[in-house]
Amino acid sequence: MENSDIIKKYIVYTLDKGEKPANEYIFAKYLKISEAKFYTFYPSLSVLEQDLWQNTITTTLARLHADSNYTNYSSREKLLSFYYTYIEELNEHRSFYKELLRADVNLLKNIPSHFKKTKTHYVAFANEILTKAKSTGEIKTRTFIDSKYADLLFVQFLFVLRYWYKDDSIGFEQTDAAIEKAVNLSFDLMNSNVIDSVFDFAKFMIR
Amino acid sequence: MKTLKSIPTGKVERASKFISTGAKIGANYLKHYVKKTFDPEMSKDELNANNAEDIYETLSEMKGSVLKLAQMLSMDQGMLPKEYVDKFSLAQFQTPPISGPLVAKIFRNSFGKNPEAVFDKFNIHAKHAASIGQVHEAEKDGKKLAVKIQYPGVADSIKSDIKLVKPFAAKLMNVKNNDINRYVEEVENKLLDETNYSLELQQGIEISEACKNIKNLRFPRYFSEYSTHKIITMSWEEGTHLREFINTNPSQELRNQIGQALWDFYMYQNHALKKMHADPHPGNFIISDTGQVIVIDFGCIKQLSEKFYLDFWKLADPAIQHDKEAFDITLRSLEMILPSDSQNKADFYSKLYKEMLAITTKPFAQEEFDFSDDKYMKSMYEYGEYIGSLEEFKKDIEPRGSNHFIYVNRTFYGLYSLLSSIKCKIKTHKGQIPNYLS
Repeated sequence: MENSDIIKKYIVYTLDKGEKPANEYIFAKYLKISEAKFYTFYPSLSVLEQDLWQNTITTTLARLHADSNYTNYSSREKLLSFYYTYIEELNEHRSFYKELLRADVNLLKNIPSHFKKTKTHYVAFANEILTKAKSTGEIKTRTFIDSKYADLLFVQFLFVLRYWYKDDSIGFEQTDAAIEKAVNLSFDLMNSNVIDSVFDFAKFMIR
Repeated sequence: MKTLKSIPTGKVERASKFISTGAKIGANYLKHYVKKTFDPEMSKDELNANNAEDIYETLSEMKGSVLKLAQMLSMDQGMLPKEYVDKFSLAQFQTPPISGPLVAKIFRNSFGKNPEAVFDKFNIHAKHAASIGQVHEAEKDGKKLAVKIQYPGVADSIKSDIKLVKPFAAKLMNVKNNDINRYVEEVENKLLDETNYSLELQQGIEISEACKNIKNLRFPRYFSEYSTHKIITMSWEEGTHLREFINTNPSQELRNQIGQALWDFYMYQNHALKKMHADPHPGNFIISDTGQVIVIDFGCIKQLSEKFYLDFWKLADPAIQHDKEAFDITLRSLEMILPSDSQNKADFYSKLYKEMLAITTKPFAQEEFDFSDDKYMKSMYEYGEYIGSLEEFKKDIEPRGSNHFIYVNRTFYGLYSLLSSIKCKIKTHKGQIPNYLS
């Protein structure tokens, strides 16, 4: 048995029983291994969930890099296709991920601890496309502020996730619209002069 | 093409869009009157142009059904000041596109693979925008194709848009809010029909087959295997958009040929099919190098009931127009005179409709009609203004006329506007099917 098998079993358990295993003991019993043996894979179910969420990101990125069009996309388009692919991934087991997210509906207010690794991976991806975007002039370089862009985009990621969680339109096409809208807004803001004028004005007033 | 900035979807966001437009128009009026204080010569044209610009900006951001409504308004060229018409016509083939990744996503949802895998070649950048979708160029087995893709969430937003527009519509038409329901429903159903690309495909195939013998008229070929309820694939047709074509200043002979094809197309659909393409705006027609009209959009088809069809064409008959008894019976049947009307009111409307129909059905009364004469469209517009100025009419808050009139009027008005902008002279066959087709 490997870690990936354990994660698969975790998904099957939750889908079949309609709820997550209440503790490590119950899940180890389901795996037909001892609890002590379980801890050789994961110190807790929470850490297992961290890996599980991280996997959703890595699978998405692997799918993107396998697509021949992806390399030619602009950064804006890269981010868009990231979200579309990501949501497609989640839709494979929507009921499972909804069950996982049920406790974290206030995603945007307190970032749950099991999203730690997800955040690291997402931010690395975001920084990669943002660096590219800066070099091509797709977004503006702004000293101090632009180092925070990736963190801000992670908030956008959580927004998309929450929107998808609540979406009840057919084929979740409202999520598609929300993604389009959110990404375009963020890239327009990272590139527009409006923001610069706002900062310029604020600096002037504070002086 | 400009790239899309946002698709506001929630009702609240749409509402706030309306409010901001309202505020902008208010500001335009204010600017206008301030300027006018200093420059009494300033005309209202500039104000109308400013307003149209702001309304258009808002609408093009809102996409979907409101844009469609704008298009409907722009059909009635005579009813709106010229500046509004120009701006709203722009809406007919210039809206910002959706992103490439979203296009790919929609393909994966429909066919399970990326567009490049479905076709041999696929241009991820949209070539044209339609009001609820956009058109991409593709190639399969050496054939060039046009692939129309619908914006996601359109059907959902139509319903919330209609709810928002409804109180404005009642105000605009000066009628009671409740009485307007059946008209709004008619529009809503037609708009929702337009979001069903499977229906459009079926209608396109059916009507192009039925109308294939009309001279100088052509249709694209449809490919059901590459079409779903969100995607329509048809053959790519080379040619110029009708409006651009008119700008190239074609010969009178060519103008007549194109006008004639359009006229025959509409008369044939009316009488032989009792259903018609109810969206005759210039963006839906392409003119080929050989001067043939290519009809490229079948989203909006109006089906005429037998009863409505018979009554409607009775009104166009000069013999009935001059027989007050028969004329009034038809008007009652079409709910243009209401059972609750007093004799005085009934007579007032009978006279009004008679005068109006004498103008609007003029092309049906003669064998040939010259649409190049501005005077005709002007007289229609002026009569509309005159009716609008009548006290009896202004005070009347009962909406009149069968709900079928909305799309039928729009079609005929649209057709007349098209023909008049083409400046053509045509054989009307007195509104019947031309001999070679019957």
